[in-house]
Amino acid sequence: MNDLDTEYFNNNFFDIRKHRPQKGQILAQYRAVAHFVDGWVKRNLINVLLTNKVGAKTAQKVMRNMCCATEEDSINIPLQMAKDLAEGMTVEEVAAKEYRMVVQYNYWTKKECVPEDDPHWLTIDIVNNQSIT
Amino acid sequence: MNQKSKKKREQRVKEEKKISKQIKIKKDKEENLREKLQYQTRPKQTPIVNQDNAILEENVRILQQAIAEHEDLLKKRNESNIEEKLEKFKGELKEEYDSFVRDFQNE
Repeated sequence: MNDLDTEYFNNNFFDIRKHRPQKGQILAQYRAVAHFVDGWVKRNLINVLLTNKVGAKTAQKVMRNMCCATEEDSINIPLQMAKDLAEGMTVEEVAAKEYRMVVQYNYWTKKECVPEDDPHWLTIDIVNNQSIT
Repeated sequence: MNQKSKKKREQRVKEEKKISKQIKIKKDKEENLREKLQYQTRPKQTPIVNQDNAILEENVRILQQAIAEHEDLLKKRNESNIEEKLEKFKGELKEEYDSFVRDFQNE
């Protein structure tokens, strides 16, 4: 994402959570490694894991929808945090610990806008009726 | 008389010193107690206090189950060779379409 300047990116890449696809656009996915660090989201996650009976499900949804973690990491990260808490780590220690995860962001964009030869980017081709005949 | 009053005075001074020392000790104790109380009633930085580990353990169990289901699903997807099946399906569909067109043209 560093190779694309902000203005170009904002004009050509549209978050699929907030936009509908336009004609001629494809689905492009950006993946990168990130660290889940201390902040209000993490503190809230710790709180729901400790105090809420549906904390596990809530944590998964937050990781997936807010933090854009992959399906696997949206389960793995809360699981690691919960295990650390259960094994005796304090809230402060868990909040300070950095949990490694993969994040992915999906955008509608034109094919020519996606950087080539960049391993972070993946374009998803959609099979339509015309390709079968 | 002077000797007696002098002695009395000395005695009184001694007693006053003793009392003031006791007062000082008492004041120190009160100060310590006040500090302790203040520490105990000060809101903690991490107000999340949950002594009930059952909720945490239940959440761990649910998450472990979720990760197992996810791995199971991935395994099934890999085993199903879905892309190969899709290509095969496309091929069969095209054959059927071509056959239909041929039959239609021959009529």
